[in-house]
Amino acid sequence: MIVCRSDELPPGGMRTVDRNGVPIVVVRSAAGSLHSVRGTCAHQGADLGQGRLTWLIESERPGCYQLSRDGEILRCPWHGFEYDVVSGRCISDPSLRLRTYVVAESDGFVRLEDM
Amino acid sequence: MIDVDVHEAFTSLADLVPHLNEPWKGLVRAGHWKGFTQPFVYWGVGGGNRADARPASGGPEGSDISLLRAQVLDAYDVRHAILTGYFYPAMLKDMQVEFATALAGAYNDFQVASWLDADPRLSGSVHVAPQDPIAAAREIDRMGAHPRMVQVLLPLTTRAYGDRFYWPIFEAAQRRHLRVATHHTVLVEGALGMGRYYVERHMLIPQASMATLISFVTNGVFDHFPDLGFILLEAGFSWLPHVLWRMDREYKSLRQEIPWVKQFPSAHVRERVRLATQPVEDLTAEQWTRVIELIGSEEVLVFATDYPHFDFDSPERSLPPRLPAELKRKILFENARAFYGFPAEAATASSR
Repeated sequence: MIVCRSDELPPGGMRTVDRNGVPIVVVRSAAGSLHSVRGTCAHQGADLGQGRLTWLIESERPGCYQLSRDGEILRCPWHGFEYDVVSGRCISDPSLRLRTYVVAESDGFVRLEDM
Repeated sequence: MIDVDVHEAFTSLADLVPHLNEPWKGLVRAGHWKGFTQPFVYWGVGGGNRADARPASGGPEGSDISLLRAQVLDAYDVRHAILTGYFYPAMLKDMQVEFATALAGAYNDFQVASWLDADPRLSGSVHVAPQDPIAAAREIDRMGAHPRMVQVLLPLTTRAYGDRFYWPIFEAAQRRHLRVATHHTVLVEGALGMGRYYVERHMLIPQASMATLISFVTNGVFDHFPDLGFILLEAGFSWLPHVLWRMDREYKSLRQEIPWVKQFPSAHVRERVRLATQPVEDLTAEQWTRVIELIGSEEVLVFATDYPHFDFDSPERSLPPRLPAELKRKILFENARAFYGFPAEAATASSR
């Protein structure tokens, strides 16, 4: 399934597609990698396509912020739950997880692989 | 049993004079300071204390060790009682921190000489003036070597002790293998202030312990001081499920702001924090077990009488008779024994 033209999904960009009634969010990280997760928050069902791509924020000690993996963390637009778009894992609540999908790029298009 | 909150007192400020250095010794001896007082009138039958706790000698409640023995230590087969004082130099707030520090040191020496040396069942709290954390750390290093000093006492006023400003205190406590206890002072406020009435303020008191716990969590105290155990005194415990749920929920939403907090706040609390049960809220056995189930651990609650204060909890009557025996044993003895590292062999001797 075609998601969009490659130039419609720049680094840090995000697109939502509907596949058989299932919303799927496709993102391109700041480094350029493509990832895809189910577009409904596992917490209260918000539309993750309205969320924001951020960094992974870690810390070695209180008061210190370490940012990495720019554009690989998707935060829900409602309560801010963080999802790792690579694994689908919810960072702040390991009991939650999003389904991930295989996404590829060819001939100038971003495509979702068939399930 | 183990009683984790017993308020010993001096007879008068004169008891501190031998333990003070100049220039403070002369100033206190000359009556240039009258000591702390509460900014309200007490409505309890005995004021702020049990009406039967005033020594025949005429000193204040908590000042007579033989009465403490008769009313607590011998009355209830107490294996260990943790002294918590009620003379808190934190109440000088930001003024004359050198004087506050001197008072803390003098009180600690008084505590050792007049109490710890007098009865082997007593363990002590290192008192500090937390408004000067460096000096407080020095005092912790000085007193921490005493074998029966088991914790540092942080008096709750209007300060949130999770702030990094206070971390020299935690560093010293961890270095000296001491626990950290918090206990409110008469200056502590609720979220909207002192309230208009004493009874109102008394209802508000647990809010300061909630705020303290939240401050410890969000500032990363549990993550940064992995060997420190904390005990919240005289705030009750039935509020804890709400605070745990609230902290976990906020953490799930806003963890990015405090990435130094490496696990759910509730997990930190269950592992590292103990709550003294007093004042119990006269719950039924079913309510007790339900609250403990909601807290998610039978190891969190430890028993305290708060002697000689008027909201004293009787070790024999404040826990419902139908509370399961093993749970009661944990609350009355085992949880505090493990927390403070008292020898295990006393466990069989004290099961009441």
